[in-house]
Amino acid sequence: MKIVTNIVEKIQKENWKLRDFMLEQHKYHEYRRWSVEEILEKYKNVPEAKIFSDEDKAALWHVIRGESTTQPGGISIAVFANESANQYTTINREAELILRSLEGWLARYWLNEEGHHEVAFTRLADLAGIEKISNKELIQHRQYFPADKIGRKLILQACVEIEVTISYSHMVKNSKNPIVCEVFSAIEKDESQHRLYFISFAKALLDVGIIPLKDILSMAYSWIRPGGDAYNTERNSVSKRDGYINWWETVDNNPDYSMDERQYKNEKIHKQKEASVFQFIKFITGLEIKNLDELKNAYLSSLKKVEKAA
Amino acid sequence: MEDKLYADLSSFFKISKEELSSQNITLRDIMEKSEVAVNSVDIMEGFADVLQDNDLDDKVDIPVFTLEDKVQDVINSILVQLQEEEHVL
Repeated sequence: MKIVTNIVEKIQKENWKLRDFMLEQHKYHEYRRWSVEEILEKYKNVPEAKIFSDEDKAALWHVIRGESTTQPGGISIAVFANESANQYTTINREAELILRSLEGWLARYWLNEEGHHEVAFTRLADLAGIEKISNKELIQHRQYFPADKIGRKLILQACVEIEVTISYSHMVKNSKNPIVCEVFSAIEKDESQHRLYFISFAKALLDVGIIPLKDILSMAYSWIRPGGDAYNTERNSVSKRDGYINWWETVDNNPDYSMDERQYKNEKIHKQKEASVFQFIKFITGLEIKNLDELKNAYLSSLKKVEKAA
Repeated sequence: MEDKLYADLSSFFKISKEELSSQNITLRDIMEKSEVAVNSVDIMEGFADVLQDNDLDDKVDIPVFTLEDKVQDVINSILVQLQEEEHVL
């Protein structure tokens, strides 16, 4: 079973309605579900499943915080999609349908699945004896998601899904604890599918002309360029902010659960992230990008295209 | 060139040149004062646009910054890169 990635084609050639997208999204959601409680039960008498390395604990400490920020993110984009859809009702029915389909997916399935991830990791962290996250900190991670344009928000989420897919994949390959491996593996697969959803919606909105190419490229470039968001944890300083916390800016904040550099920052990992970003740019825009210079040039060219169009 | 960069940034962000070139203004201040800049990507876009308009985009990197950086420091980093480029040539 596959995610519907050719959204505009489904609308234009197969006359798909909102109910068709809803049914397909739900079918895929059910197909992908798994139970953390069943995994815990399966390993309850396995001695290796009770041993959590320092690397396992550090990863769990961070991922709980990362996953907890998805709730305000999902709510904010879903509300924004709803408001945008209302604006397109009379002027662009395809755009309206895409936005309502996006809203439904975010509000029903993405939020549910990300909540599942947060709970799954929290169950593992409790087993590992990691100190429980306080109310105060959890609430900090649930603060309002900053305003931005819909195209950029979708690309930001796609970039974050890439970050976590690659980080979780490291845990699957390197942890010696079978529960850690199995839970991270299940969540890695979910996140990979989420990335595909986000880029499919971005492509559809680009194709029907309601988001500009520059919003795709600016966010991708801002994320992956040297010194960009993907490198935030290596900067000497990051922007101070109130409200919403970008989890990737909090890596290493707790010395008791310090991440090993191999887990999240090294040349190989950055190259994997770059390749994934270039791949989704091709999927969304058709542009073949081979390196960061080409991405920079494509972004700069897209600024001029907007000017001419205006 | 410094003057032109300030003028073009002023035009992009719709903030007066005087305000933009005052000594302690930060990129976060731009975000708070400008009606066109909502977040750090908009700030990056302002610099990218100005570099391109002045045909500097091949010579200078689009600045990397935190919102606490001063506008003056970012402009200086562009000017330093340009000087270095001229030396190379």
